[in-house]
This record gives sequence, structure tokens and C-alpha cells, in this order.
Amino acid sequence: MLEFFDVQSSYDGRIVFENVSFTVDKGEFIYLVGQSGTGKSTLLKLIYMDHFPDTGRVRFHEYSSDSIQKKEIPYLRRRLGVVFQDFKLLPDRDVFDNIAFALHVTGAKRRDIQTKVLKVLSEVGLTHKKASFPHELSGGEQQRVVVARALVNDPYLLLADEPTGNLDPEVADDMMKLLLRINASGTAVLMATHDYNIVRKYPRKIFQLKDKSIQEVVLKG
Amino acid sequence: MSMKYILKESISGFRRARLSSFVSVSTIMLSLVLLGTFLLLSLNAQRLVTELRSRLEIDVFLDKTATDAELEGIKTFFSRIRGVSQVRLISREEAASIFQKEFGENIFEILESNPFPPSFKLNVFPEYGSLDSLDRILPELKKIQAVTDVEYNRQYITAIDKNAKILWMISSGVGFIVALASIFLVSNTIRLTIYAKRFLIQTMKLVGATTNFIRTPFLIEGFLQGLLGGVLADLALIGLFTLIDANLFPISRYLQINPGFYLALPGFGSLLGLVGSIISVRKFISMRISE
Repeated sequence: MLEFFDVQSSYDGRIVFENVSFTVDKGEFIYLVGQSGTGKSTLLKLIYMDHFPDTGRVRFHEYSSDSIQKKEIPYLRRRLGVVFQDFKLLPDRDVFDNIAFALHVTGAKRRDIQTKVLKVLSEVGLTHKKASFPHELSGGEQQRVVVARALVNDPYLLLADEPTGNLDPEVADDMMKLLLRINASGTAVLMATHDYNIVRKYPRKIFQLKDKSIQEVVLKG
Repeated sequence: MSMKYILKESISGFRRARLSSFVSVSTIMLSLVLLGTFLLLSLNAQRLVTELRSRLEIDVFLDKTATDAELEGIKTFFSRIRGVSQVRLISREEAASIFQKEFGENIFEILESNPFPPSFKLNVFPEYGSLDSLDRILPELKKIQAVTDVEYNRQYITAIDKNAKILWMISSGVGFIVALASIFLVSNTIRLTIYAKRFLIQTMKLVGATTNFIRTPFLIEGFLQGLLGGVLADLALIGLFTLIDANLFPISRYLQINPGFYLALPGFGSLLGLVGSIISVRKFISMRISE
């Protein structure tokens, strides 16, 4: 489903990583770990093609970084769900509209939008907050709205960039449980994090970015 | 792409960003008031020049012996010359009676016979009321053998030509600067409005919105802001010209406003809003999500 093939990527003229190759298959849950500045976010950007490799190739589903046309990128992104650490909710829309927004973009019908948004809100446990505005929600709730928005288009792969980074440990734990539930229902998840407590508590496949390269690691003990 | 959703988004863009929409509309309105005032003054000055040009008269004097039939033929010849709008025959008798009206003396009491020759008074179309055109028309008149003299006020037309040239230079120079300033001001204000919505654009890109889907509401919003700014500029100018004190500004009595002018302002405003939005939104759409 997702394949990195001998990818080299640089940012602001500096090589962030090179010779990166790995695959993510349908339904997998993968942690992407590494110190700050090792290129976790860059790697995610390569997947949603906000950034392109210097050499090598990133392939997601039928789209490949070496052949994708600019006008195809929106359609690739509709097959992905993206969750950022810094929420990126629209402050002037309520929860329902923030999620519905991702469906309007695809030209979905009004009735389908209603059904899908309510379904996804129920999945993240926020049906009762559908008319609230982002500033009326706690950090954890806001992050769950972002997750709901990322899920509403039934993505093949959910990309989460430090989704627990700004949350209290308890709330972060709830967020993890939510992501694992989403994964259990068939959506692959690639989660960038440097929170080793979470990684230890919910062990899954781990890719580590270190010294400009990537490798799969197994936690000891 | 749902047009209904896009339209709803465009209109709610006003509501969601009240302050920036207000600033945008006000800027467009002020720019158009400035541009409109200048345009009105410039058009009216131009009209005045046209009016003055159309007042030019050429007197063509003929040989006293010219017969009625000859005069008729000459009249037809003159009226066919390009640029001549009107040809009026002043017969010898009419000339004598004009003399009497102007000087209060009967010429026949002073002289035994009528000394006045027949003549033609010619008017030209305003666009031919310049020295260049006259230099083309006059030789045509002199082609007629019976023509003894051609008189016109060369100083008058020289002064008009000179002042019209100065006027044209000032109005195109100032007009260019005012128009450029308006475009700059409006496009910058719109850029600020769109800058305030850059997160919306980034989020739209993140969830897979196509460029057209992102762009269209901004273009419609820019168009509507321009239209509204234009209508408000119309109202402001109507108010200004209604309230202006003719005693303080006597020139205001001569101002004529073509109704088309009031349609042109919202039209230009919409165009300004649309173009400003196209330029500004393109920049933000081409930015990376992470920028």
C-alpha cells in the first residue's frame, strides 16, 4: 500500500535522510520514532506529497512521487487521513462543519455527509459536541475531532504526527486507544512519536529514524 | 464540486471575517471614489474641449458675381468635405442686414451699392476642430475658384489644441497613477484578507481539496466585495455631487454625469476584486501545507 524505495530527502538544502526503504501494508500499525530533527515530519510530508524526494520513489496506492501530476495530489490526499500535533481545526466552524468540510471537498452529497459525520463522531465519542466550536473543546477533544475529520473519508492510511504531543498523559492514553481501535477496524496507521512510554505500553512495529537512515527496531524486555 | 457549497462558502466568507471584509470593501470603495472623481473631472474637461472645438466657425467669402446656381453647387461641394458638419449660406442681403444689426447703420445709406460678398459659414465636427484637420480642410475650400477669402480664428483653435494636449497629458499621467494606486491598494487588502484565511487554505489542501475548489469561493468573494465597493462608491459620489455647494464650486454646475458611469464603477470594482483575488489566492495555494 505504501512503499519507500531508496529515498533521499533534504530540507532547506540539508540532507535529512538517505537510502530509506520500507513498506507499510494494509491494516498495519507502525510507530515512526526518532529524535527531533531526524526527519519524522519530513517523511510524513513525503507521503502526502507536500514534499518530494531528491532521489528514490514514494508510492502510495496508485500514486507514485516520480510520476504524479500536481492535479492528482488532492485525490491522493483523500485516501489519507492526516492528524497533526497542532490540531489545525478551523476556529470559525463548529465540530460538525469541521468534519463535514473534508467531505464537501470531495463533492459528497448532503445526506451522505450528515450520516458519515455522525458516524465518525460517534466513533470518536463526540456526538454530543457536534455543535461546539474548537475553542469550547479541551485539547483532547480537539484532537479527537481532527482524528474524526481524518477518518471521515475512509482513508487507507492514517498519518499521525505526534498526535499525543500536546496532551496530558491520561488524555494521550485515550487518544492511543482510539487510534488502536481505528487500526483494529482495518485502517493502517503510521504514527510519528517520540513518546517512548506510549510505544512501550502499546507495542507495535517500530521504524526508527537515526543517523539519516531508517531501521526497524525491537524494544528490549 | 458542489456549486451550492461553494456559493455558501463565498457568502459566509463575509460573515466569518467581518472586519477584513469590511476593510476590503471600504478600500475598494475609497479607491473607486478617488478614481471615479478623477474620471468624472477628466471626462468633463474632455467634454468641454469637444464643446469648444465644435464652436469653431469658418467663414468662406465668395466672389460677388457668383450666381445662385453656383452658390448651390458650392454649398453641395462644401458639405461633402470630410469633417464639415454644417454649411450655411449668408447671402449678400443677409450680410447687409447683419451689418445693420451689429453696427446700427444701413449700409445703403452710406454706400450706393451692397459691398458685401456672399459667404458660407461652416462648422466642423468636434473631432475635426484641430489645427491639423483645418490644414486639411482649408485647401479643399480654396479649390473653388469663386472663393476669395477664408477666415477663422486660428488663435482660438491653437489655444484649444495646446490646452487639450496639456489636459490629456495631465489626465493620463494622474489617471495612470490613481489607477495603479487603486489596483495596488485593493490587491494588497485582498491579500491580507486571504492571508487571514491561510489556515483554511492549508486545511483544505490537507483534506484533498482541488485547486479550483479552494480558489473559487475566494474569487466569488473578491468579486462580490468589488461589486459592493463599487455600489457604495456610486452612492458616495451621488451624495457628493448632490451635496456639493454650487456657490463654493461653480464648476460643479457644468458637471455632466453619464448614467453609464454609475454602471462602470461596480463593474470596475468587481474586476478589481476578482483580479486581486486571483493574484493573491494563487500565492497561498502554491505554498506548502507546512509553510
